[in-house]
Amino acid sequence: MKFIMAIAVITVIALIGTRVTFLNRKLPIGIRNFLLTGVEYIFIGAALGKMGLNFLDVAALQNFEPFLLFGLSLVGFLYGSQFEIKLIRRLPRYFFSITALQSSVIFLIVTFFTYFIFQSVFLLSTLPSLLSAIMLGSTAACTAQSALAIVSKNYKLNNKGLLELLRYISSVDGLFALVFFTLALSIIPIDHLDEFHLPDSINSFFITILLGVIPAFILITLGKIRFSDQEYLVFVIGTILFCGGLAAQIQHSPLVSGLICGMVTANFCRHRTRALQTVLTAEKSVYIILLLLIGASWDFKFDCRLILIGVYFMTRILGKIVGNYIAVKIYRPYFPVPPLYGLGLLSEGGLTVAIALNFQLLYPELADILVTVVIASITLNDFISPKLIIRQFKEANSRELNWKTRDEGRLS
Amino acid sequence: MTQRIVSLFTVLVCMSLIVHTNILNMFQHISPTLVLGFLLLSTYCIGYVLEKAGLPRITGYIFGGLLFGPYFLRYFNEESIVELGFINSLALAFIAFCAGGELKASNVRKNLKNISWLITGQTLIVFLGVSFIVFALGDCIPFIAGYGTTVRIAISSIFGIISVACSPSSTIAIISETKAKGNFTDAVLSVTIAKDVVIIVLFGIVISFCEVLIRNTGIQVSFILLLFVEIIVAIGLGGDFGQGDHLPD
Repeated sequence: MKFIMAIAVITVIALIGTRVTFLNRKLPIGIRNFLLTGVEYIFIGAALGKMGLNFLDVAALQNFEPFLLFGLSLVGFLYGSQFEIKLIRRLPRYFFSITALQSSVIFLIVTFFTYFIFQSVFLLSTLPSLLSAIMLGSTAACTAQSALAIVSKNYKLNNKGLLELLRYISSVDGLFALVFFTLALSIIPIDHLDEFHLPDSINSFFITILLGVIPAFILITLGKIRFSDQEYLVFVIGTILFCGGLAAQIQHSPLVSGLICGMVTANFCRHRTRALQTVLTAEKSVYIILLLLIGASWDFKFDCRLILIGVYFMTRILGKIVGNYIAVKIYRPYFPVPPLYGLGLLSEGGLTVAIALNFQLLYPELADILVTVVIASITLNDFISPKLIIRQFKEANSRELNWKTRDEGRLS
Repeated sequence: MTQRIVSLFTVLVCMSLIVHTNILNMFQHISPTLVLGFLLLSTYCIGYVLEKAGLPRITGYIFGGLLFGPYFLRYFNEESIVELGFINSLALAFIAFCAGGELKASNVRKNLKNISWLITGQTLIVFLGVSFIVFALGDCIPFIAGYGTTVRIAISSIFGIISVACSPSSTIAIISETKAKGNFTDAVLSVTIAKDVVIIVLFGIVISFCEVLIRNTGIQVSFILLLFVEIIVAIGLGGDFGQGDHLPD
């Protein structure tokens, strides 16, 4: 009965949330980014969870596992189904290269530093330290689009090329984050946390791919028949559940298998747009529920994890600045780019939460620390990122002006 | 047809690999998410195949559950069913909501006389008939045979009242599948739904009556009152929501 009540409460919050969140309301910009990107639901979840009313206790959270698996698989599917190669090719290829390079640099910097913290402060052995560090590296590589969307609606950026690049990076860099996450889970499978076995890692990698391809094959096959909207909803939900369930059954990541399923669907399914639209209708509610669940399972303690929060936060900023600076220096876009434009990509959101929840599902013993780090980082970044974006926009506008003046000078 | 069979085959192969072999070193416990996804996809395909054979799809869904469940092919066990119990509760609430939504007050008012007669007739005949048969065959039913007349009457009346109930979900599923419309459909739907409400009340009364018979206690008026309050609150809430002010545009 308590579980049904918990479902009812969470559903009501999610329903109200989809109507009031993610809207452009007149609030101070820092608060607007905090309130309207859904971060508040983490704290509502925390208030309902073991740190607050204990309404969503451990037993209730365990009962929510089917929904969690579905949600993670759905987030992966949604993300993957946006990667239609034909569409991606329409944008400049160097955008992709810049995104890949900057994501890799951030990933490497954050993984490197946090690995040493795990070893020296938390005294974890090599493989768990590496796994935890890679997970943090992956979440650090993600950027949420919300802050950028809010600022760009309210502040005019004349440099359209830069805006397009920032949007591209914030929407595509999650792919690299998930690739790093997949590689980490494949290299260090769940039952081999003590020792590294190459054949097991290769095996695990192929199984991960297969877990996404098989459900996608079912969806594509069922998509060849004539069906009603309701039937298609059953196909999509059934496929996502099956995908998440398969992954959970053999202790793989539902997020990654959902991503692969979505990517295969996006590129081979006749009804790819319909599948994407079907999933999009549930996106906001699922996202809010995931935020509530991560908040409810959060166990915050004032201890050495504060050091990790600081290191993660600082190295992520460092990675964003260095990664983007190097990428722009190498690929040289046709428009002027401020040297610190990486500071405009600090906002974290949906995919970060999904990776953290997925990690919690697979490695509950390691997840407590990481969830705290992720939540702290999301909150901090959501407060500071709009101001930093505005600063980069101003810088870009003045550079654009200088660029134009210089060009006009040359012509005259 | 081919696509559905290919999909069904793929789903079954995956499940067989997981459940009936040990090649991937899986746990014995089957994830409820997997069971749910598997059931959605497989029973849809079976429902379609049976539809081609002239049966309603819902029969296919029930058949699918029976075939893959813990007593035949064992793709999932009782534990999975318990874990998915919350789906039952939610689905029942949705079905009841849908059933209520289909019941138009104007149609009920128009056919009130017919509906009342149908409900009274069905309830009385089925209740009395089944109760009588169970009572008469009491000696042949092992768990009743040992009891005296009073307890037998109590058990047979419970059997009788349970057998009057019918499933609004199946009725709605078949109506929606066959796209049936008209007076007969309205009457069937109204009778099915209204009868469910009547059954809930009668069930409460019969249970109280049985307690009087078996334990010699007085009739639990509070229990019956509570039932009435519950029904009135549900009607009130439904009526309020039904005004449409709370619904999205």
